[in-house]
Amino acid sequence: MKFLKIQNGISTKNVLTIFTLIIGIIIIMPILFILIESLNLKSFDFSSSLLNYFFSTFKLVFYTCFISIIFAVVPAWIITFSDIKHKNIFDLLNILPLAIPGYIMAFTYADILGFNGYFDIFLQRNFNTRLSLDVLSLEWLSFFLALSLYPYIYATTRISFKLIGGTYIGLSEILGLSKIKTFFKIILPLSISAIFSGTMLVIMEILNEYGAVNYFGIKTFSVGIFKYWFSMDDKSTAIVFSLLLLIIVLCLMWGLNYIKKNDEKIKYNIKNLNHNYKKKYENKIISFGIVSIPIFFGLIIPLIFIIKNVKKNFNIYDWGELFSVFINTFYIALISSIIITVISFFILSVKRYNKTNKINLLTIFLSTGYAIPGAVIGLSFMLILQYLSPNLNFLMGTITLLIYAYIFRFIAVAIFPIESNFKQQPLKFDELGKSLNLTSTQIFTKINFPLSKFAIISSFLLVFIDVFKELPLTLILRPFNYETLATQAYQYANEEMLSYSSVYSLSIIVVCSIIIILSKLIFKSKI
Amino acid sequence: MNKFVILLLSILLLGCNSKKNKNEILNIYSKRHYQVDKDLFKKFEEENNIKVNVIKASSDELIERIKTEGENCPADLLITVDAGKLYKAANEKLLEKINVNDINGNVKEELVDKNGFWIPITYRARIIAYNPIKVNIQDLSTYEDLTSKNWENRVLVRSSTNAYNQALLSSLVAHHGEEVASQWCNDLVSNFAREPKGNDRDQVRAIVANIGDIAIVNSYYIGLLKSSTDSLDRKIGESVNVFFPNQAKNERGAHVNISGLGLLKNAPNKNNAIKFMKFITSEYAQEYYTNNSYEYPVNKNVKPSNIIAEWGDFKIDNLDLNELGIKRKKAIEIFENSKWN
Amino acid sequence: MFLNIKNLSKKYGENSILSNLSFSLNKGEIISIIGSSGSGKTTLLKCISGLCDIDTGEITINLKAIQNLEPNKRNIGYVFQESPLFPHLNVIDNILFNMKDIDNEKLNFLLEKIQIEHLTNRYPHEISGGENQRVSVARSLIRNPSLLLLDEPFNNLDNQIRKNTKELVFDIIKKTKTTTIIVNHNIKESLEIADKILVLDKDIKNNMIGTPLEIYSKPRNLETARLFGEINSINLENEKIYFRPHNISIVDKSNIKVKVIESIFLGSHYKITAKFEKDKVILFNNEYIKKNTIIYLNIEEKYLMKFN
Repeated sequence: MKFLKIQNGISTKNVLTIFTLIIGIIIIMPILFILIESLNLKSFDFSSSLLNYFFSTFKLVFYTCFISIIFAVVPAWIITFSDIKHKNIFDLLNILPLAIPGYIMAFTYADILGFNGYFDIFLQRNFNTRLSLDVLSLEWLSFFLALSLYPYIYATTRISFKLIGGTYIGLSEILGLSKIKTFFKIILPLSISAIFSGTMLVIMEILNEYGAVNYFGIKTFSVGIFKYWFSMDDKSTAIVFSLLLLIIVLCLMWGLNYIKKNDEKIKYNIKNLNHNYKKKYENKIISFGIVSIPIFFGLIIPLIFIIKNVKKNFNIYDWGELFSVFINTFYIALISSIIITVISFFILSVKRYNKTNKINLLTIFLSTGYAIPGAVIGLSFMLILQYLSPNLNFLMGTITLLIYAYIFRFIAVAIFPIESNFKQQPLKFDELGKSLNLTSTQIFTKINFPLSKFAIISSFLLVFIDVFKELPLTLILRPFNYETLATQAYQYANEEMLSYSSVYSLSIIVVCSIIIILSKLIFKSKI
Repeated sequence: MNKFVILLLSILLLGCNSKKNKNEILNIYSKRHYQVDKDLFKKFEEENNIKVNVIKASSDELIERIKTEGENCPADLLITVDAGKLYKAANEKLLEKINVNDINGNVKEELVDKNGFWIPITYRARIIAYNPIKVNIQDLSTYEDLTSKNWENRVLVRSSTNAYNQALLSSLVAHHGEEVASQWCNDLVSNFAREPKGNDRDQVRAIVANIGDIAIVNSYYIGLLKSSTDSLDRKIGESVNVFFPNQAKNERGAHVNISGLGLLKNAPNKNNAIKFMKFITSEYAQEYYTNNSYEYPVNKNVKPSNIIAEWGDFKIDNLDLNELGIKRKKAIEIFENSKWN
Repeated sequence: MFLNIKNLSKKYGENSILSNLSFSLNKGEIISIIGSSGSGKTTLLKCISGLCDIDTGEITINLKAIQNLEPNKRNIGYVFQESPLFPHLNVIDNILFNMKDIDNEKLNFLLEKIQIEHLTNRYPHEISGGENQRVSVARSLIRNPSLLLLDEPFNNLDNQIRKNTKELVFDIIKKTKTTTIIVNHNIKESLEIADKILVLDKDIKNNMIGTPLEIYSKPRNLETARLFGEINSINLENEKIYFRPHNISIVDKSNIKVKVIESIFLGSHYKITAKFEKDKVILFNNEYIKKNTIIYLNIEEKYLMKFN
């Protein structure tokens, strides 16, 4: 910070702001590029097949969200308001499916339930029938994706139920409302924004999903982008798809912002009074059963099969290759997470002091990176390099470029916890520091940083997990001989070598699970 | 702040450093990287003391990447499993003409690029696998005939998104023109036993499950099934027979496609690339291929492996394989507008 | 007696929060519960309202035992200290929440008297803290509760609003003759409104119930006495005596000889701090007394306090 001290009347504030804007613009260049390219489109005719893409995408999103919400809300309610013991363990188990990426979940289940899969052969061998299940369909895919994505909704909903329930159950009891009515008339309406913000994350993940959707033969936008760009050399259509995705995402984010604003006004009064129902008469077995269903299908079954596969093929694995790929993945996830966390903390800190519209807009654009499919980001980077060639070509195929793309894609993940944390740190604290004669640096190290510690750590961990399991972007931009666990798992699965693929899948799942468990332990008191 | 700047700089340096390498190397962008390929690359490495670096991705992605990298592209060779993609690369001016003398001399003429930009490594046919109990071999004749009422509800084939089918349709567009090919496509869909699901091997398995009677698949898959470690798959491989379409005297021959390679214009290790090309078309490599991946060898002097030799010789469609690239966009369009999923 | 609490006991694990507590109220009476935090005030309210179970005891309202009834069957109104209203419903919906038959006359009466008629369509976040509490009171009263419980209802309000809100609430309670239990920190308010005062202490031996005058003049222990104001304690003839500052008179001669340390002007009187041997004594006087002056004090027997 020293070299940014007051220079010739330009205050530190202004310099920092400009610096932030520059970083921000560099980061969002890909979006700008898509927008610019779309302005260059000469003509575009909407053939009916394009409408198909729209409808398929919409259908997939709708079904998956519907199923995810049920998987998330029902257990969240039962766990919060019943007498189940070890709620912490259930919370943890309901978040762990996040460690299983969507494409791995889809491949594994396609293998289990598909033609000549485990179940099919089992029935053939023992009952002389087949399992004629058309599992490579949109409906089934939405089920499998929901199994992998529902934890997003579960996490936010559970917190909301706990807080709101704790505040209003007592009041509701006195005023004569039954448990079920209380849920539908009080708790659910007040939790809508929590459910919606979780659902938004789910929608973004679905739009990004490429591996599973491609394998299942579903025509979504992300698949379409790949197809039109690469196979049909039709850049215009690909760009139109990207643009449509951008618009959808912006709408979603605006909607979320609106609900959050509305929310803040309404919920300023909520304090957890720790009310809870006195006697719990429900059938514990039924509760336990219902709560276990998502965990069983989203965590236990896939794990069992993957581990089975690994055991079966133990001796044919190239452990050297696995090790080096593991190191690659770990290294790049670590570096990226550090950089991304630092950058977002920096930008948000500047935003805190300087709430200009430019910076606000910048933050919004930065956040959209998360919703744009990794494939599109990879392609737009290539576009940019082609456009700016030959000067910047040396960047192609380097880790630097890959990390740059990760920054763009995942900065939203880091922004979210830090921004929420900053909202709880009014500028009064900084003024307090000034009144105690602390320098800017001291205010930062003694006031801001300790208060933000947890947010920074959770940003870091969230980004780490996301980079660790990232697929489409890495597939396009990775350097020579540079494989990640995700690219290996995907490539082997795609070539019908699921047995090879399993050990890479398992590595991803294990590492992500450890991190999730770790963060749960760290934030025990906070959640 | 300072730490951050240092970190960023060191990463930039690190990233750039990955290029400098004093030893002999060969950089390959390849769509295929099966165990057979890995084995052969290793053999090449040992024999020539040249380190082989491979980046594996779909051909389209690789081509796009080569375009982006421009002069700085580190790759020497592009290997694809589809002649159409090699045509695409050549068309985008990414390839350099290959000096034919000692390489192409050994290779079947009908498979070599007329324009000299790429060479084939292996080839395969898109054949019709059939259930000998349900299907009389006299009933089978041509790809075109598959649209007749005779085959209603009996035809099995994978999705139209797959390159193998796109290449086949491209050859039909090249031979018959867009309209006829389009008609063929739609008529064939009416004969499907079920909506396209799964891969080529799944179609063969479906024959044995009595879901359909015939399947359009690549020849090497039958070989892979027959030699599988899974007893069930072996049984399936044994239960079907192989038919090469369009073999009659007045017919053009069965549709084939190749795995091939092209030499990239800005290849930094050209000599090593040429060594590799000689190696991969040599008898050793060709025999290795045919005995392990059940593809047909392009080397004139190498005989196909036993399993596929059983099927005998067949007439190869003499279409210029570049057509598989020239007509590709049209074929994909036809598929997009059809009901073939 | 309208409300009868008999031998009420409640334990949380090993801790006995309430032990054999008994008191009663006539219809329309107001009792104020005071005591340090942790003494069980909120627990008592929760037990009476049915939000938590009791271990032993009986709660009777109008000769009907209610300790086994569900909370909503007890016809008890409860105004919470925090989050009294549902945030997603407006004022009128909050007031009429889950009500079937609405007495419009009574509704209008309440709205008018508590001065919230102009707020009916607003949402809780759009009205002030004091208004929130008033709405909460209206919501309880519209249901004609046999008993009204108020848990530190004015705590989060600043001075002027507190005064205003308090007046309106106490007014409506008196007008509707509602039997009320109010937990309150502000002793002055309790003295203003309560017919009875219940002092809860962590040590249940010190629990006391009585009229405000009784509790004020004859508190059972020093802490309770301190709740109501300053207490002087001095060692006189080997006995410790306790008395309040304004029960002291200055006389010409007595056995309590003190030296003045300082006189502070408090507007209506002076607060004099004086030294008696090793102890400090505080008294009030209309005039200023110079430092180091020697004065003699006298306290009437009836004003001396004795503790257990």
